[in-house]
Amino acid sequence: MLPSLDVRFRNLIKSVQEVIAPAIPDDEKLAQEQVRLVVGHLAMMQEQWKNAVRFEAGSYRLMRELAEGLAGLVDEGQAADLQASLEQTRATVQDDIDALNAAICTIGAAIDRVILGEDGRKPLSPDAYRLLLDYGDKSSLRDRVWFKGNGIDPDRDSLPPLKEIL
Amino acid sequence: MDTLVQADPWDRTVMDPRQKWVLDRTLEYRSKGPYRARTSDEIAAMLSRYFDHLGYRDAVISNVRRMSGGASKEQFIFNLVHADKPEGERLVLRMDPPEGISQSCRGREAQLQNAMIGTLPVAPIRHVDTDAEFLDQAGSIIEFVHGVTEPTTSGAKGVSGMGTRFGELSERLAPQFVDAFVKTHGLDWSQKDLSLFAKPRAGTTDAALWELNFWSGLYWNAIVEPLPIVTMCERWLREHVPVCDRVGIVHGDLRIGNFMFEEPSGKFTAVLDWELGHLGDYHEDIAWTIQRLFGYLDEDGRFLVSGFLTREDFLGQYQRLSGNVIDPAKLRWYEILNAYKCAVMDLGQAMRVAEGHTNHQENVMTWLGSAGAVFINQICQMIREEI
Repeated sequence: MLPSLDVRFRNLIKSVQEVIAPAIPDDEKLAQEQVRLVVGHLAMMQEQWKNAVRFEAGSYRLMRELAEGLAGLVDEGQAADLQASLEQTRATVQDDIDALNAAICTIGAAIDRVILGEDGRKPLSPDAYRLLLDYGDKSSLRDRVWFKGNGIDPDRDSLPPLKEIL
Repeated sequence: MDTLVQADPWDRTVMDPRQKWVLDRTLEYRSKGPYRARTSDEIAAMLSRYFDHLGYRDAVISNVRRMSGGASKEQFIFNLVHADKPEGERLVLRMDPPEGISQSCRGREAQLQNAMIGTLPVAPIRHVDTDAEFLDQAGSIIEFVHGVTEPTTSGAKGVSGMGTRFGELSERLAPQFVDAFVKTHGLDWSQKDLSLFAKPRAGTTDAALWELNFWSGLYWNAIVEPLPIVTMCERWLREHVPVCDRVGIVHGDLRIGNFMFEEPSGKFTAVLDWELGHLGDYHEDIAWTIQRLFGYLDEDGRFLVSGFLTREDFLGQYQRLSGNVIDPAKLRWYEILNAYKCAVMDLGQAMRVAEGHTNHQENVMTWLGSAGAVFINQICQMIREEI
């Protein structure tokens, strides 16, 4: 691939920092802030692009595992709802990021319905809560590592390297 | 004594009517499609029409400049000269984009700021166009207040003041920081014009449930991708809604970045951003400001609330000076509600705005969205301790 994405990202950042930013008048604070954000986003995307599909596939697997686990902890009707979403997405192509995201949305919507339990009329057991929390721990750790470059996470220095969460 | 009837915690319709209006208006604005940031010339023309309508004679608008900061409003500073003030004055236009990270009502914000005059330093509101009858979007005209929200020498360039370090100024800012909570929560609001606010009943779950219903309404209207932990959090909150014993003014975003002060004195010149203010439970403000994101660890590894005080010192000073008792269970519920609100803003509303291009700075929306997992993690940690 010529020119490579890495080269293009580096050059985009260089041009914004060295050409566009100095041309912005001192009193254009919003424009200055936008430039910093553009550089920040480009820098994060430069780090992310090679692993974006793998990352989304990991998110899909986690969501799928959650649905499979919850199916054993809820009533028959709710389990059938979850199973239907799992069946519908079983053939999801693992290297298609849009297909993976669509599958996450399909399974996630079924999970949301189970959690809400017809607005509280169906219980959510302590075991189901614990399963959800385990999922939340894993998924939020992955997402925090993925977006560590934004510099916002107060515990970013203790996060593992990206390769450990893919 | 009559027994107060508590609302069904799953009744999503129980809400301050004006907040329902905000939710409905959000959908209406969203349906109009992408938003293009206004140019300075367009803003000047719009302001000229507005001041003419308000009866200002020979009004001339000049030197319109966009202001940075904030994730939910468009703000412009400008000069106004008119027949009764030929020397001119600096004013600020604070205007809604169609959508932002949070949604609110300019009229409510103006009423709260006016209610606080004489109690806390606030920027005086000159005019407000609550329903966008004259401005392109709902907005208010505010008197310009001098000051900074972060030391000019700090070099901090974070979003909304996050990550700011105050250095030697901390000693002068910290007492005013605590005082702002004490005075906000201690104000007798019963004689103030708060006609755009419904009053939750003390001794009921109204205050907590109205807030939860507003934020869950915003989330379900905005959802881009299902987030099981956000939904689980909503369920946990509904299963544990607390009673509010004493109803008072809640600022809603009282934290680092929303205080303006002079340099080098450190004297507060304005408490900013009253847009999320409402009548409710003081625990909500306390729980908001002690979040990890709005402070940092000092060299000894101690967490400092907004960079000023340890959590224990902050809670201790607040209780001593306000007379309000912090109930740990209520504080925890509001900590979880606040993490939920942040997740709704970052992963719900901000993502919807970014996808629909209904804001003037979508790059901020996606930047904040990239921080959403921090709140998911906090929700998990806190609920795990409660089950």
